[in-house]
Amino acid sequence: MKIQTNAVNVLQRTSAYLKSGLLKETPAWYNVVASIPPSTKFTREPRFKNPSNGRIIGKLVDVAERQQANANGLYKTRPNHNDRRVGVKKLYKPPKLTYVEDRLRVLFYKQHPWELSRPKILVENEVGDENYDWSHMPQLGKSLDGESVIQRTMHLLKTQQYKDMVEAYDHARYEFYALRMQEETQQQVALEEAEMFGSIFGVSSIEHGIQKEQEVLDVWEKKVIEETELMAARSSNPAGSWKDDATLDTAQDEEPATTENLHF
Amino acid sequence: MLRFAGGRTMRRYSTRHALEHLKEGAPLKGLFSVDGLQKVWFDRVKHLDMKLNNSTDEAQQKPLESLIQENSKSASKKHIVNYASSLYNLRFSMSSLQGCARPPPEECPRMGPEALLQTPDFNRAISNEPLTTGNERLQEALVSSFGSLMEFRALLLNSNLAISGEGFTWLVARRQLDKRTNHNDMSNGDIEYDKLFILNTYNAGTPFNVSTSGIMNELNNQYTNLEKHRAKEEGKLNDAEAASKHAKTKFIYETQQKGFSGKEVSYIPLLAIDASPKAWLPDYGVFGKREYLERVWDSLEWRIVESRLPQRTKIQAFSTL
Amino acid sequence: MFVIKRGIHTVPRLPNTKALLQKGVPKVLSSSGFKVAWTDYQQYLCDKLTLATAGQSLESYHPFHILLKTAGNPLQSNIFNLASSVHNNHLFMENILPSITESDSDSPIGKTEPSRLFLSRIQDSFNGSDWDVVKEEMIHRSENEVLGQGWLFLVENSEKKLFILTCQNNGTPYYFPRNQTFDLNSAISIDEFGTLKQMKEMIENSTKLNGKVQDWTMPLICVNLWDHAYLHDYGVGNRSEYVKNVLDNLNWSVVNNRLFSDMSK
Repeated sequence: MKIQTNAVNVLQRTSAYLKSGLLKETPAWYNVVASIPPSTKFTREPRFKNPSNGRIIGKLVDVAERQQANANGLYKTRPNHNDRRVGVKKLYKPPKLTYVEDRLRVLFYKQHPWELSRPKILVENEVGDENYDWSHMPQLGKSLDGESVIQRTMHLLKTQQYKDMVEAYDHARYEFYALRMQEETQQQVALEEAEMFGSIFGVSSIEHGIQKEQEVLDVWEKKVIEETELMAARSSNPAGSWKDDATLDTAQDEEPATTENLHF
Repeated sequence: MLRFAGGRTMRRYSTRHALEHLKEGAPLKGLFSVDGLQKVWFDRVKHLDMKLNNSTDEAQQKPLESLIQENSKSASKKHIVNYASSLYNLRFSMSSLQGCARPPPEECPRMGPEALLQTPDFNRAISNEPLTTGNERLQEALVSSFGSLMEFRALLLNSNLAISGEGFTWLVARRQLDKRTNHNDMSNGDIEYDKLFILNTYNAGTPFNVSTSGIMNELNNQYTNLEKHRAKEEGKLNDAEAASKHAKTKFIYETQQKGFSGKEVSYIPLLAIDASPKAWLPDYGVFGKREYLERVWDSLEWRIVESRLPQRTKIQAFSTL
Repeated sequence: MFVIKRGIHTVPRLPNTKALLQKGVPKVLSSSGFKVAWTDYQQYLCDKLTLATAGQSLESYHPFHILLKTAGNPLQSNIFNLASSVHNNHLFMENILPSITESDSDSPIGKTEPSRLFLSRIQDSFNGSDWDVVKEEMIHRSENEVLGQGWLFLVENSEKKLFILTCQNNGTPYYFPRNQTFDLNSAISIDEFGTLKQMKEMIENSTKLNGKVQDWTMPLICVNLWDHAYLHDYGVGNRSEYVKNVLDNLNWSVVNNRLFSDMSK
């Protein structure tokens, strides 16, 4: 199929329409597209290096390189199946970008799975980019999380404070622990302090749960006492008819079961 | 035009509360400047002592501990307890601070907002360990209660750092008295502890829980009686419901105090650190509390702390709770 | 490089900052005392609040909204403390700053006076006592009730009555369960215990169905009783002198404005 170039000519065509009066009003996108015109280059260029780590993806083998005499002093003139296969497919694929940070991230969250359970805000409130100075771990405007550890590790490596990545990572990790401990104590002490100065809080969800459970238990308690008394009375009265007893029992067994279900 | 510094009235520094190693007009090496120590210690002692004397006539004869214990349950004598307890706590905390070899605080640059962003140091080699000052018994006790000295230091300093207002962080030894063996213990005359804890008290709170134990329960009883009385007068009394409600709250208060073990628990203070802004504001500024605490750690005199440490109970079973 | 972020709390700009930093607040704080009480302390609180709220749903709220939102959650006491004191300290600074005319002329003519409405409201609320008596009472209450750190308020409740409120540490006047009026570290009286218990029951019974607890108290006068505010200038044990100075030199144009004045509605 022929390369479709119509789409990228949209600006020229619209300009022509505007000039000829076919279009009366300038479309809203017109100036934007004019300032950032679409690329007209359709040839795909092979990429020999992965830009993220500089690793060589592959290379095109020159024909001249194949022109070598073998042990018998003969030249291979007919390339076989393998020789003919050109490994260029991957040269045109977008290379997989790999970063050291990613490996650290994987490691960190594997070691600290509960860090993932902390809520994270996805709304971007920031105006401007995030240029933090990672010579210290806590940052104004950024919460302390795994990313802090990774960025701090990278900073330690970049500033040559550590040569070994594992050591740098451990350093950053311990800093992170120290800060988390501080945070946690702060929370607990603040709560204790608030209570000691006469703050009143409502029931927590655990307390609420216990209260609800207690309500059911209170009903159950009464019933159990009644039934135990009944059973005691019955066993002390062997003269009663066996048959009557049995029917009474099943009737009573069923009744509390349903009420209890209702409570739950 | 303003007499800020000169407006102070002269008060006598009571020798009753004096500590030998603190001298007026001299700094506490590496921790407080002359002016800082004046505010941290001398001015406060004078102020609290005056207040205490104003609130009770007995202040001069009785030791602070008995003043606290005798009056602690009475709301009307709250002020006596507050001032006595503040004095006691302050004196206790200062008694184990002996200064350190760091440069004097007034010569170091004041901390700015960047201090909040500093990463806490987690040096695995910590300075001023009890072991280095020859207090093996204390070191061993700390390690067995807190895991390691590193953990102890982090917990102690973090607990203090987290206090936002006035207060003290204590290292205490827990003493559990089983009611049955109680008498045997007393006859031996030995005080034994089973575990060390870190505890925060706020304002004039005291680590001696003995004096206040049961107070909430008592208040609750009084309050329910009052309520009952009121309800009776109004003529609408639902006795059974009120009684069950009362029993429940009573149970909660009692378990809160005694724990489930039913043992009588008391705490023996070993070490106190002052968290009041009066201690760190003059020398370290608004952002300097952490710096102050690090220096406090270096200034601790473990010998004194160890001298307060009682013998450890031999029976360790079931006492980990 | 300065990055604007909504999540970062910054110290509010005060009118005449330069003059304040040079001269302090006349008759109340010296210039270095002002630096500790406002520049440093407010910066400290703002930074701590930013650190505590960053990356959470609270990050783009004002301190006032943060304090209301966190007041009911015991696990957020830390954030509440910071937000509450950020707000209170601003209230405090507003009502002690000299009004612009006053600092320009330095003559007693520019001095602001309590409005007639305020004085009559004081008389209504305190059994006919006048402002000087109430002032004495406020000094007395602050000395007696706040042993450590705290705040002293003159507040107006929803019935438009004025009363004195003391808060321990970082209590707030806006929500009564977090007023933090009682110091449970020392013995409390049976009345205080009763009040606490009633509050507790009230809170426990308040659900979405029964209607939430409501509190429409507004602060009129705020005095910072923290060491940060007075220790530098007045020294240990002279807090009452400082409170007296503050109450004698209030910026009445601010306080008068805070008073509810629209009687027609």
